[in-house]
Amino acid sequence: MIVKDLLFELQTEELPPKSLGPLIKSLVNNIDAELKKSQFDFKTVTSYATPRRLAFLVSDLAEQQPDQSIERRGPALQAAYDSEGKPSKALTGFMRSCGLDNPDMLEKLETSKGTWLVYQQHKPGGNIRELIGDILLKSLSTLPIDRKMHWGASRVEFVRPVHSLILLYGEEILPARILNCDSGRTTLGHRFMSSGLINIKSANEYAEVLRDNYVIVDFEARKSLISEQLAKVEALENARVIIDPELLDEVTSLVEWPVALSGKFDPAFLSVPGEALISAMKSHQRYFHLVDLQGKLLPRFVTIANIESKDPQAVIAGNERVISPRLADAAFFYRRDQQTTLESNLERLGNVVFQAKLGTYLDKAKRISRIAGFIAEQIGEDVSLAQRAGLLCKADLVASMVGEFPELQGLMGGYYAHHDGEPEAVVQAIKEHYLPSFSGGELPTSATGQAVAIADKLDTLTGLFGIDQPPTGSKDPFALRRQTLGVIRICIQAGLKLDIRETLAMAAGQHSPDFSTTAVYDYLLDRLGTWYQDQGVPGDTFNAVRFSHQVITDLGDCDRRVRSIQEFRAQPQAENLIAANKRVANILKKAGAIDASIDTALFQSPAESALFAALGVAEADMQAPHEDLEQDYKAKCLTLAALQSTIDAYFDEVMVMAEEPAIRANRLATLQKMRTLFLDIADFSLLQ
Amino acid sequence: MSVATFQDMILTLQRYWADQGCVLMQPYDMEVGAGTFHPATFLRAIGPESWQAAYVQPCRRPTDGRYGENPNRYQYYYQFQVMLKPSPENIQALYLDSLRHLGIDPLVHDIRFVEDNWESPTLGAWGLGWEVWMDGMEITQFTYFQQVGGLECYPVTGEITYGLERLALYLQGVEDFQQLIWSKSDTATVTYADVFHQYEVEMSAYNFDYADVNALFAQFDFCEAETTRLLAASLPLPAYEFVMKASHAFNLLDARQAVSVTERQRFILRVRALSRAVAQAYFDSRQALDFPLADDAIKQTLLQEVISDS
Repeated sequence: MIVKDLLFELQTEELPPKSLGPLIKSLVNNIDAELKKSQFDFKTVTSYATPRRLAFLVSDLAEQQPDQSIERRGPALQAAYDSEGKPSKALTGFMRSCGLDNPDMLEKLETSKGTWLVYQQHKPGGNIRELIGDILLKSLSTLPIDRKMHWGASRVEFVRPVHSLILLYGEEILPARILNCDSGRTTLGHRFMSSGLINIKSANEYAEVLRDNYVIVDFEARKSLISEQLAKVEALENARVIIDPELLDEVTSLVEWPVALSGKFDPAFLSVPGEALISAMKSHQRYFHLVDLQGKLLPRFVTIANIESKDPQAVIAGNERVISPRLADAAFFYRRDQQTTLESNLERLGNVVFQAKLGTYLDKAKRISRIAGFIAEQIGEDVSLAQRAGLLCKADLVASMVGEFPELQGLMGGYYAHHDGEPEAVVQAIKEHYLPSFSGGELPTSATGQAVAIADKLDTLTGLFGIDQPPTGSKDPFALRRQTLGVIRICIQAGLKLDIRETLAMAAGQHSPDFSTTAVYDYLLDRLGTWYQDQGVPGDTFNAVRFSHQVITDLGDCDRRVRSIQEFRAQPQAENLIAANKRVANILKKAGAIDASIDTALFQSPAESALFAALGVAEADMQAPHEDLEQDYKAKCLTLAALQSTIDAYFDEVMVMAEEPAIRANRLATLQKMRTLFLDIADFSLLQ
Repeated sequence: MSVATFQDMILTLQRYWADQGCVLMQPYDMEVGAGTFHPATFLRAIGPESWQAAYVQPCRRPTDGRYGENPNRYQYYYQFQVMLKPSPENIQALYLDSLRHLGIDPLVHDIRFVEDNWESPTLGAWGLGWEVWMDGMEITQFTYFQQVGGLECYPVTGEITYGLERLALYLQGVEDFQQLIWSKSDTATVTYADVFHQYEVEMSAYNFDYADVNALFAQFDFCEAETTRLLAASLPLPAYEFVMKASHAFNLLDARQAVSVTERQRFILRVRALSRAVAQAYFDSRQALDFPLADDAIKQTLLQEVISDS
């Protein structure tokens, strides 16, 4: 069988850097799938992507599809001929669909239900030369393109204008026409360092020929080259280059021939908050910033140029000239923002809509203030500080700096609060109230910050549920999932003693007395369950706690119970105790309401007395307050585990559903007591 | 460097684009936020007619004022605008050649096309393209128009907008607009600061501190009513002038922070409604003339495919 490498290249104008990765990934996946679907044998598909080309190489692609044999079933023999022995309509129709004119070509198939006419169609495998065009069109038609464009007077559409198409099978051009381009073997090299058309003689020499023309077509190779160059800068400058992986990807998508160049800026700008300088360098210029070995921002940057300049110093000087006005702008915003206080910004906050039905950010700030005060009171922190921080935490949304760099919200508020002379706790709380800013992200560390962070999130959560806009599978514009998880993590990991149900109700009440919290509370518990599952705690452990007698109000308490149950499950007694709980739950469920108290005089067997005594001891143990909260539930679980042999012995010897009603009721009451003892921690019958 | 002064740069670009077949236009004599507002771009981008033009356009962006203190951000500055319709296959190469004419060696400088899509909510227009970077500085905006005044563009206009001052910083090797040499003769050297500094300081004060808010609101309302009245009289060109005036009034109000966020959106929608109405009226007026500047095949494609699709 003949196999050769297949090369495809679409040469385009500069593609959007953030789309380059998704585009090439999708193209290669599609090609892989389409080739497999059409049964063309091949080894691998290698992708190539640069700002000006989408390409791939299929190695050892078979020239032919395998031949195929298809059995097509026609009409039953009975229905195939009429009374005069002439072919019926059913038969002629079937033959037409098979492209036959003689019924002798058909075979007979005997089955238990009768005899059928069948056609053994032999389909010779297609040739790649004929089928590749269709495969490519299919693969290109479903690329993830946000906005397609037209150009010139042509009616075709793509991400950016397309200039040429290479389609080589080994050394042979396969004819195809895609996006108004006829296939050929020529392309362009680097926009400036290479000139004229480049001929690709054979598919497998593509990457090498392009490299000779100053284009590194392999995305990952280009990316590692940039990383190596950044490492060299680090060594040279005795500093650390901070590499944001997203920025690295973006920069890799912006160059065909990367060259790292490092420049400086005026150290006077370091008086502006570092985060603002970094934002200016990163978002506007795609620069990497440098810090010294202590992590302090240096007045330096690295840019990745797309050329081996004849005069690199000119490129550096040019970049230094650009960054200066950018930083000057940041400094301008910083100074201008400091001319007003956060408090005086509040009025303008009244013009910024938070959500059409939930009012402006001023309304929100006032609500956050009240909720934060309520939380502070519960957790024993300064109420007025929390209220103050809550009121001011959104006031930087109307600051010029945040208008320019939205990612600095909160952070700039902190700087401005400090400038306004607000108490340090307020400054800190404003700064960190958006935390955690991503799943698993850092949490606020100050108590006031925690109070405001929770207040802000619960306000959003109760508000959106209140107006019946909870998150759906695909839509979560206010990031309620992340925010809810944030509340859970702050409460648990900071060990806050907060009644979450009461706080939710208080927060909902700030919007409207009509806002119910049932759905929000359930949503929060659902998220809590997911959070546990993500950590490898099985769903039944959490459900056992969730559906115990002790309703979840204090998330920290809930967490201690979940962890204790999780430990308990590893104990040797667990299995029998869980089985006993299931059994008891079933018995009690069938028995209905039980109101009898336990009368020891009605005990008939020593096992009954033993269980009663053991339950009494356990109950006393369980009620005794434990000083160390961490150990509390673990100790209680041990107490329960100790009941195992007594309970097992009871079921071995005692027949609960005794004939005599008084004895039966007495036994059910004993079981009820036992069940209640367990249920105070968790519903063990729900464990699997 | 072959191009020594600001005015030489303009002359060089005019000569170059005239040689490429562009109609050299003059700046429009009204306040606009960008060269795109000039009817030679905004209106000519509508419909099937071919059109190539180049011109300098002074632009006013009141919120960009920095009292002349920022080295490269001014509320009044110059764009050199080129519009080519339909956009030619080699439009990027044509542009890069214009840089060579200005004396920029692309083997020295790091010149790149970095994605930057353009949208003008007030003009009901959007396009895809890039900002062109030279050593990290944006020197040109490059856009393929996809929609203008709410109408799909067929054929597509390629728009090239040079930021003249920023480009001049490079050509003259200085750091600050103020230092740019505007003109130079044996007897006198005139700088950008000589020409504009006082203006920049005073206009920043006007935009941020003195513009009369109530009068501007009234002016906006008047321009809106006037546009509607003129459209009723089938006069799209004068109507469009009032859209430009309304847009500038809005920009001044914005600089005065007189418009709240919610109101802001409403104002933008009001201007957009006017732009769309003007665009449609202009299209209709050209269609009534049977699109005299259109290539026949393009005209047929527009009428048979594009319009029926949309």
